[in-house]
Amino acid sequence: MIRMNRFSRYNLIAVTLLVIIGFIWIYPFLWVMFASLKTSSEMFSAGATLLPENWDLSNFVRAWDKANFSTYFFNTVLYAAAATVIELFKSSMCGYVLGRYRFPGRNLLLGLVTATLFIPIASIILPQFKLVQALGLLNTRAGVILALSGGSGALYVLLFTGFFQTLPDELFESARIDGATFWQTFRLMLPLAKPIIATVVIFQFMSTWNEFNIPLVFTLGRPELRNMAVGMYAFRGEFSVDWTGFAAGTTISIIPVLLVFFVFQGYFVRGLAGAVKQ
Amino acid sequence: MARFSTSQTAAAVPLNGRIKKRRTKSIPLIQQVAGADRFWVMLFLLPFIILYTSFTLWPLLATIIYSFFDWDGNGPLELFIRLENYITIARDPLFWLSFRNTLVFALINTAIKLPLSLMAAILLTRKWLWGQRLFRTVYFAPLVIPVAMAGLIFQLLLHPANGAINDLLTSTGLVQRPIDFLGNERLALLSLVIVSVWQIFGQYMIYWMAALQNVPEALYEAAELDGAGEWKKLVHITLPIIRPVAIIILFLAFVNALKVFGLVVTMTGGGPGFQTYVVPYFIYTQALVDFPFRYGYASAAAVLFGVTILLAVTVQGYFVRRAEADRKDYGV
Amino acid sequence: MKRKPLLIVIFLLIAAAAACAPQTVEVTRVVTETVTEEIEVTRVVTETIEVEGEEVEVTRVVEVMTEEEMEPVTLRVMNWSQEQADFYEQVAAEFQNEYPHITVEWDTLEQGQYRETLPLMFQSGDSPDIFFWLGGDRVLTMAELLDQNWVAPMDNTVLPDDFYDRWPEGSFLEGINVVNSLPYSFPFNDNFVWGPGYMYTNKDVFRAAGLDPDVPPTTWSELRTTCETIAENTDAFCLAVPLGNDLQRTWYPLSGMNFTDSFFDYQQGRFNIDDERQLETFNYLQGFFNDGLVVPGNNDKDFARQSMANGQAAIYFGGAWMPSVFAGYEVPDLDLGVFPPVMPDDGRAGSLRQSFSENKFYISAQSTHRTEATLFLEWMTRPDGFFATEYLAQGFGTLPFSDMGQYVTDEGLLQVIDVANENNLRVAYPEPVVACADVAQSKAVSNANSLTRNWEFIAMSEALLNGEDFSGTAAEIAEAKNGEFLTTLEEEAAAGLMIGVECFAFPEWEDITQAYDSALYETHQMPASDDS
Repeated sequence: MIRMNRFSRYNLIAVTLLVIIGFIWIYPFLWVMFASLKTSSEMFSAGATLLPENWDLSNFVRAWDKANFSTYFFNTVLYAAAATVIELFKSSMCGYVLGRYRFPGRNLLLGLVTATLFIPIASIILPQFKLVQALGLLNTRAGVILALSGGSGALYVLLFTGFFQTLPDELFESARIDGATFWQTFRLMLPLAKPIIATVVIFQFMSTWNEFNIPLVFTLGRPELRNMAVGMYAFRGEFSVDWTGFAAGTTISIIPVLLVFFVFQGYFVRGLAGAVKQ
Repeated sequence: MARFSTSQTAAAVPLNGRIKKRRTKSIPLIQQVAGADRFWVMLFLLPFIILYTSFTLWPLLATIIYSFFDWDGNGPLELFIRLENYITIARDPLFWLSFRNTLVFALINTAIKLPLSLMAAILLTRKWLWGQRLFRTVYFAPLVIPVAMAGLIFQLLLHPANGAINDLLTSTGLVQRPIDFLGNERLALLSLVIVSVWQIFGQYMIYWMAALQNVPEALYEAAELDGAGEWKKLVHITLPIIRPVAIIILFLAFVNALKVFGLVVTMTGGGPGFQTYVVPYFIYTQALVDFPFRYGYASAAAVLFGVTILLAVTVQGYFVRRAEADRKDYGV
Repeated sequence: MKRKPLLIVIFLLIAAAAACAPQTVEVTRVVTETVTEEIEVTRVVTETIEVEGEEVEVTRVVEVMTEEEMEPVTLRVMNWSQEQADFYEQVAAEFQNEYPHITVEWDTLEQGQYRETLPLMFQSGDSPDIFFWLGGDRVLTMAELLDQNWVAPMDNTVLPDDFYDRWPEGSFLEGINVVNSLPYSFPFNDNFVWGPGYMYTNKDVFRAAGLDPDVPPTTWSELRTTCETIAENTDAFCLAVPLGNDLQRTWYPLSGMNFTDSFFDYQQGRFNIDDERQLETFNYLQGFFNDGLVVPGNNDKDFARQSMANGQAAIYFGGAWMPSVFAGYEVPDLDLGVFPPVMPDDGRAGSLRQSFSENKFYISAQSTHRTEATLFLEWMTRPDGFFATEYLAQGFGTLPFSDMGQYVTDEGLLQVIDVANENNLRVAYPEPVVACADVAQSKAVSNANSLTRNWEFIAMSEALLNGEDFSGTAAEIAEAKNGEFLTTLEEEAAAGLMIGVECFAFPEWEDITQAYDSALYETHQMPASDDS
């Protein structure tokens, strides 16, 4: 009884605090959503006011057409999904091996991966571009996907390495006794890494979804291969910017990302914070 | 199966790249590759190594090569000028101002975002809290807004003429005259810091949540039996246990803050004056904005900056090792 | 200049096109070719044409082109005027009506992305056939583009004889858009109306302040009084001034009427931000900031314009393109005034620089369709063609190769043209490259500007926002830039270039409000030869 009361008291304070700060926190977010329903002059003059005077859906229509979202939506989903799957695939495999096996060059690889994590790489797009060109993959979806999933991943590898390293050895022992092959053991262990998988999926999906440099640069000869983040730049003209169209475009394009977060949040709850529940 | 994932340190440990050095006495965690496994190990490493070499290591190497040339990013590399770019950079006051601004930004940014996100993470992992899912999503949300949009929103919200924040400050009488957050040379960088904290907050919140798994629930339960309050639990249990991981998150936070770019472009364009020029923005303007492009020069700036940071990280490496030693002591 | 519309319908004979004289109309043209086994392409064209006032129906058999020439060609055109994307689609369709075998794909990108990706496209050999480019220094752009191997000349075998007559005289200059008598580009926006320097007002704010919106301030003191009245009588601010590099929009008209809109003094041949006339202009502008007459904040151009359009400010200084920008702001009842910039109290003492060479469209050196690209540019620049008439009618801007008076309908743009015509704001400055050919190879100016890009504007903005004295910074900037300028010149002269500060100093240009007459070049002192 006393316990319950104490936690209820905590909740009153904490929830109040979280609601107030939370509102401030997502206020800019709401502001974008509502700005997409305003006229451009209202958006600039309304200050803090959220609700538009007249609800105007034309921004969405314009955003969809002008930013080519109907064409780009498919590309965006494809790029984000493919890059995420590849990222997951390569970083989990690499992390698994690094976490469980000792082999020549292992320390060097770990050291390099760690070091590059800390080096800011400025304007690497040019060398990447030359590489993709040399591979003959310019103006193909494959080139974009490759570049999207190639440039990141050091952190993810370290995440998986650490995870597999901390799995209890008895697990592997019993797998071995059961006669599981290398591949079968990996198949058994991978699902245990759900929290890491969730982290990779969310961060990688989010960053590829919003990435505009790579999809732009590697598809210059074929504009129909671009994604929505590139399309968003259609609102910036030579002399003026269509901010309300941009806001509408933003609203359209971030909703799927939030959905992904909602879906995978389950894994977060279990994986990242689950320990507390036990 | 889920038993194992929850009873272990899971996502927290991996933030540490030097984990390989740690070996528990009783169980050898790492086994030597032998037999047929050799093939599998190679196969498993291959995808990552290929992509990593081509898309991370090679561009890095190329940047170093470019830095020795007078090159506009176009055509063949012909004008080898040895260290001239570096000599010019060393005397370029704008580079050093950018350097200083970047460091100041990263330090303040880290100093604000880490404690705040830690507090949020602790609060949002309390099992008694109502509406966990909702709050987590709310605090995570800014991360998904494209940076160009985020920049615009805050340009408007911080605006001295009719921005929401100044409206609030003046109407409550907190300030007499509206504050020009992005125009004032002392406030502009700080405003960028705050906005970037807002944006990136969710990411560190998640890192901290991962770190908090290191804390066995049993410890809390024992403490509760002893009648410890939340504050005591925080100071005597949570913080000491997550300390080693905290140091790694700290590195990551600081280094990521050094890469600040998008918000500068969209919110201040480096202004007022050059007060918010940061190194990535400096590199960008040199390489790609101001014609004729100075790609070689920009590459030299990138290398110089990168090497300095790497040196700093190496020094920090000392602390990493200490952190690991600490962690061993706690037996987690 | 005017072409009969029927010419548009005639399928082009590549070889004969150059011979198409504009006045003599060839009514029928049957060309027989020896047809081997090739597939013969013939068309029977029935059309109504006008011959000396009478309509005649003619049926012609047109043997159009050899199979090879008819092969469908796709031209890629790229620029960064994204707001005109719909227009470009119409342009491509119209063009294809006339040249069915040429498909134009006009792609637009955001300016920043465009500048970043165009070099990459050239690197990959995948550049657009026709690209848009504006260099930092417009005079040196041609040299830079040639240097980078980006540009090819137009195919002048398909250009009509009167092609050059479409532009005002003096539009084509060797070294600027012509090299070895071959045209590489053409002035796209006119150099008389087009450019910064106009004073745009929100007339409703004037009315609210009790001022006559049709009697604008004309002098510096009047502007100041007007601003004080507006501040007293309304909630609005007087001026909307964009900062950072965008400060140029306000700076050019003020400094241009007081001295020069260039940070380089072509009379003395030096960087001039420390000149007392420049400081005078700066201090005048700073007075508005210090007294709260300017919309506060570190605003960019978009914010400044929006605040004027929405009635938060009364006056915005901007370029000739502003009417179409304001039109896009969805402020339907904006009552826009367009006026000449304000003059110093003791009269106009300077001029804006007439930018000689608004050359914007170039043919890529990598294009395999140089002829088709030339055909497109020729079609695009027809004075009464679809492109010109629609471009002007939609108020996108001004064109030097068409009759603006005839086709511009946009109220605001018409006012802009009036203001320009009445005030002669822009004059031709001396062009160093015309005085000394080797200037095209010199990096003196570009090195000085590279010390810190846009240094003057950025430093002025900072001082304006924070109420600081600027003269010290100005001296510092001028010293650094002039130092670099002179050092580079010396090095270059030592390396054998025929160059010296004399190439950049034109003391014989006595009255800066008047154009530097081309005859003056003959009196210009040239650098001493170093050949010995």
